[in-house]
Amino acid sequence: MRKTAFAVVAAGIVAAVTLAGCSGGGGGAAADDGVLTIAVPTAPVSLDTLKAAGGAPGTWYETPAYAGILERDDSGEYVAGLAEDFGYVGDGNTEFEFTLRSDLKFADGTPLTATEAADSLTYFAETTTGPNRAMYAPLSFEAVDDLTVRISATQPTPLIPWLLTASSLGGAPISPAGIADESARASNTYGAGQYVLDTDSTVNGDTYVYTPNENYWDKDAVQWKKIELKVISNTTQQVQALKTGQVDVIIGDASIAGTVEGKGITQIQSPALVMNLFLMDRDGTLVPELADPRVRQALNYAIDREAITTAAYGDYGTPTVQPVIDGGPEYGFDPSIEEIYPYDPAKAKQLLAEAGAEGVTISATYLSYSPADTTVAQAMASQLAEVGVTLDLKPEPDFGSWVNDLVSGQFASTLLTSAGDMYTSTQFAWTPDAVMNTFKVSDTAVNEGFTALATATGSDIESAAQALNRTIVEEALDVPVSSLDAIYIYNADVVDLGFIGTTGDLAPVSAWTKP
Amino acid sequence: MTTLIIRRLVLAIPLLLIVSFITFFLQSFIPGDPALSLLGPSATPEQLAALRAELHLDQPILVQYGIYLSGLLRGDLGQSIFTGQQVVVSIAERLPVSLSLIIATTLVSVVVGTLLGVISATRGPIVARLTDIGSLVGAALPNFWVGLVLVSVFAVSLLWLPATGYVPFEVSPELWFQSLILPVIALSLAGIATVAKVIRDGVANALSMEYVRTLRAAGVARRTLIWKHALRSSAIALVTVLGVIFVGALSGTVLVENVFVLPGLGSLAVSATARQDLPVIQGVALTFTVITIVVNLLVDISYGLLNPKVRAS
Repeated sequence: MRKTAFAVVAAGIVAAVTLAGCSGGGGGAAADDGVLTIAVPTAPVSLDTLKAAGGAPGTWYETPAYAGILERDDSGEYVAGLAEDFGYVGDGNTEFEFTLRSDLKFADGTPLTATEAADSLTYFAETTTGPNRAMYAPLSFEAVDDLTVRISATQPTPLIPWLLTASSLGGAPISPAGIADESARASNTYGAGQYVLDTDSTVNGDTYVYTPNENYWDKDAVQWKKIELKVISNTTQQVQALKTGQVDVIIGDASIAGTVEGKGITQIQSPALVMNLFLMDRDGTLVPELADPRVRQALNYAIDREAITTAAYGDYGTPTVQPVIDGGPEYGFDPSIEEIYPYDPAKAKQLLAEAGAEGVTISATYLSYSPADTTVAQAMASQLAEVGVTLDLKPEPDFGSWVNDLVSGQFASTLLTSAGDMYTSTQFAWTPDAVMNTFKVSDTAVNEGFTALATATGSDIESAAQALNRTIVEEALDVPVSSLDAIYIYNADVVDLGFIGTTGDLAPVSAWTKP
Repeated sequence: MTTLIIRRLVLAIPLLLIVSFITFFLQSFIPGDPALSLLGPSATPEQLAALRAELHLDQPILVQYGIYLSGLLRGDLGQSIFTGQQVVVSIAERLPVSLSLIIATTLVSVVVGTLLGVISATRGPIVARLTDIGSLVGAALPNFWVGLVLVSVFAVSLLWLPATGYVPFEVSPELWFQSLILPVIALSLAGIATVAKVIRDGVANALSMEYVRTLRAAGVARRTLIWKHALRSSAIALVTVLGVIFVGALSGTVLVENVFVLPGLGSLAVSATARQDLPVIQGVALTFTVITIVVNLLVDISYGLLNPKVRAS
């Protein structure tokens, strides 16, 4: 009888604890507890801004702790950040100055003056291995007084304001202690941003926790008691975590867009990226036929962009022949350019026959963890096969393997989504030292158009960008397929998100506000 | 007994060396360049060469293993190529998560499996057959699939339990317990099935023995016969199975921790392998090996405690 009673009591205790543990809401954070939890699909390559990946979500790990010298407002205009005054000096986009606010400090309490800012920018420009290395290479930095830094460029650089934002990674100063200890930067933060990494609460590869920086210059702007970035690699798990309130923000894609429902769950989307088949081997090193513009143009005629876009992206993509989105004057998007390459397999075959390129094989590597990207790759291969071109696909399941393929020089092309305005896109893909120009091809017309765009100011920017865009499309330097939306799904009861103008860029994490 | 323990520990050393050797050479066949993965395609050849030299990746594979081994003998498992964090620290912060999961799984498997085993042994052929079927189904279902179903039902639809994540015990015992319920259920089904089968066979066999009939005739209560006498005869078989369940749960953490996004050793193994973070891969493999060795040692010690003949030999 005693043993039976004991067993019953023990079972009752277990049941009570279990039931007490089960609560409506699945244990998620309350809407007003001041904690912002973000799901990110990948862990950072490194917390070191010199090695971090650009764009979302790579910069999400950096921007809470690293504040930019400049920022962008909701319309995309550059505004004061750590610097309160800034601008180009003279004409030609080769000289720029900014003046820091007084009494700035890094998170560790050390002063941030023009000397530290110039040192950080110089260190970044000389040492970074990140995707923006080529953009900083022409720049030099000098502290002209306690708070003023002058930037000199060896070539016209209209992008300097963006290079001074936190999103560019280099525009967010690193403290002297961080510069001195490279290995420590991989798992700690050394910025002057609103937050600092809480290393005690952080589990590398799983959860990154940020708490308010006591030395930030504008404490009123700090919204959250804590920001947590949780690595959840699977889209289904991300959606489940959002629905159960365990996370407040996820990055969406076409496969889940429009399907995630729940209290407070809101979706925003904006055209942001272009899916391209980048033709890296344009001088014919691996595939001699690719040096002939007729062959590259034939590839553009052979693709049914409408069908591929519908299959891969549904309502969240738009067919396009241009390598940029319609994001504003700097993008150079021109509706008339869309008429250059209608879907015309017969024309494609004709051009291939004229060039003597029937039966050509083109190797292509691509990242296969996105189902949509795999759909695009396989659809393109199928359609190109119909005109006698073999697209030899090599899927890579992770970023590291894909990077290895790119630099190996063994692949003539790659499937990739690109972002940015005309200047950024060209410097990313087609200038002689562009990171995607793995065969170091120099296109004279592109170089001339790029220089014209780099020196353009005011109302001339749009026409220069459109002219360069048209050159790239007519020369068929790549095969754009779809403009696709960046999609974010979040709990609007906890946080408010927004895009920066029509750029497709989401505001940095430090700018996300409470509703 | 002391001799047994010493012998096992001595044998563990060459075993660990063999595991480290095999793991090191197997991962050398993984295609790709960790230096390039870390620095990206914008890195200059000089920067890549410098990093490869720093990581000893430019050395012959035997030299690399020798450098690793010399560190290992000093207790230094190296540091992550990507985070710079000491591997020992990475393992230390994740080990409690995995151990919570594995120990809870083992306990649940024993308790529930024993209950089911006794019930099926004492309630007649129909219940026995149902237990057999249930055991078979439990053992056959993939634990990650069960986990996904549990999340879909109990977390997403009913909102009773969290879908992902882990809360340390010291932060909140209640939330810690909540975060383990679904992963433990997913991981313990196979163990429950195994224990139930072993207990059923043992108890049923014992109940048919002459000495049990004698005790029953002497007036010993049926409940006492089952739980004190018949169950004891299943102890050694249960101990053997416990060791297998524990090690099985250890390997099961690789999938289950990824389904439930638990920051344990299993998810660390997956992420390190995907990135080719060689020191971390090595560290996790050695940790798994050490745990397996310790578990098997404890099983052997338990044999000795339970069976005087084993102690004597």
